[in-house]
Amino acid sequence: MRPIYTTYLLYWLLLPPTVIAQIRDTLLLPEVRITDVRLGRPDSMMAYRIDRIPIRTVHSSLTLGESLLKSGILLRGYGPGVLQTAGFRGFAASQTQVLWNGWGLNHGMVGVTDLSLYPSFLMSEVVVNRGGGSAEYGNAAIGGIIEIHQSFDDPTTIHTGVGSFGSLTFGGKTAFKIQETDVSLGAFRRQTRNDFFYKDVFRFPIVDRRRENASNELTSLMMSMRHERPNRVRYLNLWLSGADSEIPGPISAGIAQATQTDILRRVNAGTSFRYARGWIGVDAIATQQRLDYLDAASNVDSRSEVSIGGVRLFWAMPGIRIQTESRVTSIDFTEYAPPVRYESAISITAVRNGASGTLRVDHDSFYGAFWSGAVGMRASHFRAQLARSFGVPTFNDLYWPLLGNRDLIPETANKAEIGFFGKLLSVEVDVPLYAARIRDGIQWIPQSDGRVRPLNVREVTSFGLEPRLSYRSTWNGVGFDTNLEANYIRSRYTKERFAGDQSVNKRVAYVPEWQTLAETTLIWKGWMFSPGYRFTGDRFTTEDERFPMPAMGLWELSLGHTRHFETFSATALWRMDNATDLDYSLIRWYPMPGRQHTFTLHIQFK
Amino acid sequence: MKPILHILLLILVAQACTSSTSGKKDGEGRRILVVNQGGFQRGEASLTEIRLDSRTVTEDVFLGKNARPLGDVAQSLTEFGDRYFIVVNNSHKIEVVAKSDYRSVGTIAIPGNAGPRYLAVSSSNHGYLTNLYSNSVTKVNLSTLAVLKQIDVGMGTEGIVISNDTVFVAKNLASDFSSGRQIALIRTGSDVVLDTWETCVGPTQLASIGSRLIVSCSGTWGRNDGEIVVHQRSTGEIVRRIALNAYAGGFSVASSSQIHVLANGVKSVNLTTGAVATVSQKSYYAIAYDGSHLWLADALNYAQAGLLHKVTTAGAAVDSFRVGIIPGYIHIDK
Repeated sequence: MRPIYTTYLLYWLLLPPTVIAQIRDTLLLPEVRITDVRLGRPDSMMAYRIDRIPIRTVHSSLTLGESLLKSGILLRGYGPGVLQTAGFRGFAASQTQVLWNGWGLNHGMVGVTDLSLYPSFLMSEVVVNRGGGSAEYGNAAIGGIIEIHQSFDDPTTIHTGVGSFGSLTFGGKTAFKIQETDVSLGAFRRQTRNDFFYKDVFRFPIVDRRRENASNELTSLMMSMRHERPNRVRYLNLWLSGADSEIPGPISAGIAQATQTDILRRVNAGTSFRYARGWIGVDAIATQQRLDYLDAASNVDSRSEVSIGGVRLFWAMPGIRIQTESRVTSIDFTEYAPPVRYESAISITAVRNGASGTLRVDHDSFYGAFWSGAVGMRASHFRAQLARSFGVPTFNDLYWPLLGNRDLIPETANKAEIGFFGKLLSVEVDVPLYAARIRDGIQWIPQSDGRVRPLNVREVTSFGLEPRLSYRSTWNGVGFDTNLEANYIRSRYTKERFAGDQSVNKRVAYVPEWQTLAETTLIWKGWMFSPGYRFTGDRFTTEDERFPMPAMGLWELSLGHTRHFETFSATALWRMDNATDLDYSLIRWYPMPGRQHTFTLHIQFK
Repeated sequence: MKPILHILLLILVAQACTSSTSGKKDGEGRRILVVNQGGFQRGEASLTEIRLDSRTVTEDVFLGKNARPLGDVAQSLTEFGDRYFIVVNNSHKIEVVAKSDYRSVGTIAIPGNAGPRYLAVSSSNHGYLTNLYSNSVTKVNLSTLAVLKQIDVGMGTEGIVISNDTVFVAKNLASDFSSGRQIALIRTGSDVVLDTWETCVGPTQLASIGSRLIVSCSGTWGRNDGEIVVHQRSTGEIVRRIALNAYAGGFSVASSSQIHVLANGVKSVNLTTGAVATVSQKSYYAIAYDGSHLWLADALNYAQAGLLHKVTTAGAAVDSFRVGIIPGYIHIDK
C-alpha cells in the first residue's frame, strides 16, 4: 500500500478532425498527411494500431476521460468530476503518458494525468496509442500514449449545455487570421453539483442517499498562434486551466470534507525551417502545475507546485528523424523538498520500405543513462513491432519523507505486437495481438521494519487481442456508421514479491478479461441517432482475486438534429447515459451516476 | 514531522493488540476473531472467524450474516456481555453484533469524522471510545447504543484501559498532529478529566497490570526510539523505561512480568528486569497471546488477504490461517 498521501493524490488528483498546425514541421514524407506529432509518420505507416476517438464522441463528452470511456477505453474513475486515469493492456495509469503538442502532461510528482481536468470541447483530436512506447514518446510512455490536439481550422463555435445533477457547460472557440498568422482561441467552463443518488449499502436497511461534497468547477482557456511560410513555421500555444473540486471520498467512509485545487499553466513555442531536404526545428515548453489538497477534518493541508521546462531540437528528413531533448523539473511541496531533476535524451528514427526503427538513449540526473528502442514493419495487411520501454520512478517514490527509496531503478517493459487489417465485405477489420511484460515495476511493499516503501518488485505479464470491425455506408440517404470492438486480456502477476504472496498467476487488480463496445450511428437529413453499448467483464479489486466486482453493461443513447441557416448551423443534442439506470462503479465504493440526461446546443458559424 | 506523516504512520504502521485472554490452555476449542482493516478508503473491512477445534475459517462473517459490508478500516473489537462491539475507524461507527451469530444488533454512529479507535468498558457498563481525529473521548451506553457525551481530553487519543474507576487514555497525537506524549485520566461516572501524565513519545497501547500501568510508545518515526514505560498507576510516577530500539506498536500481556511487543519484529519484554529478547525479526501487524502461544497477523502487502500465524513464545511456527485484508486486531474469546 502506498502512503496515504500518495493515495490521496492518486485518488483525487489524481482534445477535436485532424491535426495539422504545429506538427507539419515534423514532416518526414511530404506527400502524406502527417498525423503524429513526435514521429511524423501517418497512421498508414505505423507498426501498431492507432485509435482516433470519433470527433462526435469527443464533442459529446465533457472531459477527455469521458470521451475515452465512451470509446471503450478502460478507465479508473472515482465519480463524475473526480480523478479519472487510464491504463492499457495491463499497465498502470502511471505508465500511460498523456501528450499535448508532443509534451508529456503527467503530473511531475505523482506521475499520472487526471483525465477529468481536460475539457473535450477544446480538443480537435484525441488519439489513443496502445502500442507505442518510450522509444518514440519518452519516459512514462511504457504502457501507451494518449495524445490531445487542438486545431487551427475549427469554425467559430458556441456551446452551451445543461444536464442532470446540476451540470452546466459553456464554451466557445474561434479561429481567424491576422495578416499571415493563424490564431485560434477557445474557452470552456463547467460546473456541476454531482449530487446524484446512490445506494448506501453500508446502512441497514440499504437506503438511497444523495452524493455530498462532490461539486466541481472547471475553467479552461486555450490559445494558439501559427505563422507559416513555405520554408519556415513559427507557433505559440498557451493553455490555462483551473479546477476546484470537492472530494467526496468512498461511500464506505464518512462524508469527506476535502477539497482540491488544480491549476495548470502551459506555454509551448517553437519554430522550424527547411534545411537541405528536410526540416530543422526547435520546440520548447514551460509548465506549472499547482495541486492543493485540503482536508480540515484530517488536518491535511498539502500544497505543491511543479515547474517544468523543456526544449527539443530535431532534424527531420524523408525517412529519418534525429531528435534531442532536455527537461528540467523542480518541485515546491509542503511535504518534502527534492532536488531539481534534469533529463535529456537523443533519439533516431528511421523509416524505409515499410520497416521502421527507433533507438533512444536517455539520461536522468537521478539514474544515469538507459535506453529504449522499437523495431517494426508494415506490409500489405500485416504489421508487427517489438519494443522496449521504461518509466522512471516518481518524485514521491524517491523522496517521500522516510519512506522514499533512492535506490529505485526505472521500470522496464518489453512489448510485442502483431496486427492484421484490411477490408472484408466492406467491413474494415483490424485485429492486433499483443504481449507485454513489465519488469522491475515499482510497488510500495511493507518492509521488515514495518515501513511501507517502494521497491522494484512488480512483474506483470499480459497478452491479448483487440479485434475491431467498422462499417460505414449510405443507403437511401441514410448514413450508417457502426463499430464493434472486443478486447480480451490475460494479465497476471508473474513473480512472487515477498514470502506468502498469493497474487502469482492471479489477475491484475481492476483489469477485466473482457471489454466490448458496440455502437452505431444513423444519420438522415440532419438527424442523428446513436445507440451504444459498453460491456466490462468482472474485475477484482485486490491482487488475490478476493473481492470481485460484477460484470456490467451500460447503454447510451444520443439523438441530435442539425439545422443550417445562412450564416450558421445549430445542432441540438440530447444524450442519455446509463440508460438502464444501472447501479455501478468503476472503483469499488465510488458510485457512478444512474440514468442521466444532457442537452447541448452547438452553434457553428460559417 | 508533518501532520500527514503522523496520520500515515498511525494508519499504516500502528499495530494492534488483543483483548484479554484466559480460560482454555493453548486456545484449542476457542474461537478467534480477526478484525481485518481492509485498505484505507476501500471499504474492505471484514471479520474472520477461526474455530480452533475444527480449524475452520469463515471469512467475512459480518457480511455473511448481515448482507452488507462492515465498513472502512475496522480497527478493534471489544467483547461485552453477549455482544461484540466492532469499531470501524474510517466509517466513524461501531457495529454491534450478537456473539452467537454475528447478526447486527445496531450501529453507533460517532459524531463528526472522529476516527474512532478503541473501546473500553467501565464497571457501570458504559463504553469509552478513543478518537484519532477529534478532541474527545466518546462515552456510549452499551445497552441502548446511544452516544452519551464527548469528554474533552484533547487531540488524537489511541489506547485506552479502565482500572477501578479511572479511564486511562493514551494521547498519541498532539493538537498539531505531532507525536503526543501524554496520558489523560478520566473519572468514570462524573467523567471529569482528573489529570494528565507525561509519558513517552507516541503512546499507543495501555495495559493495567497489578499496580502498574504499562504503556507502549511508538517513538519518533525513523529514530527507532520506541519504548515501554511502566507507570505507578496510583501516582503516574515512571518506575521503568525499557528501550526497544525500534518503532513500536501494540503488545500482548503474557504474565504480570512479561509482555510481547511489536517493534520492528516481535520482542519479549521482561517488565521486572527490563530485559528485551527478540522473538521474531519479521514485522507483524497485530499480536495476541492465548495463554501459551502467540498469534501474529501478517498484513503482507496490504493488497491481498493476510495471514494469521500461531507461533511459540520462542517464535517457532505452529500453524497458519489465511484471513482478510490487513488483519489488524486479534480477539480470542474469553
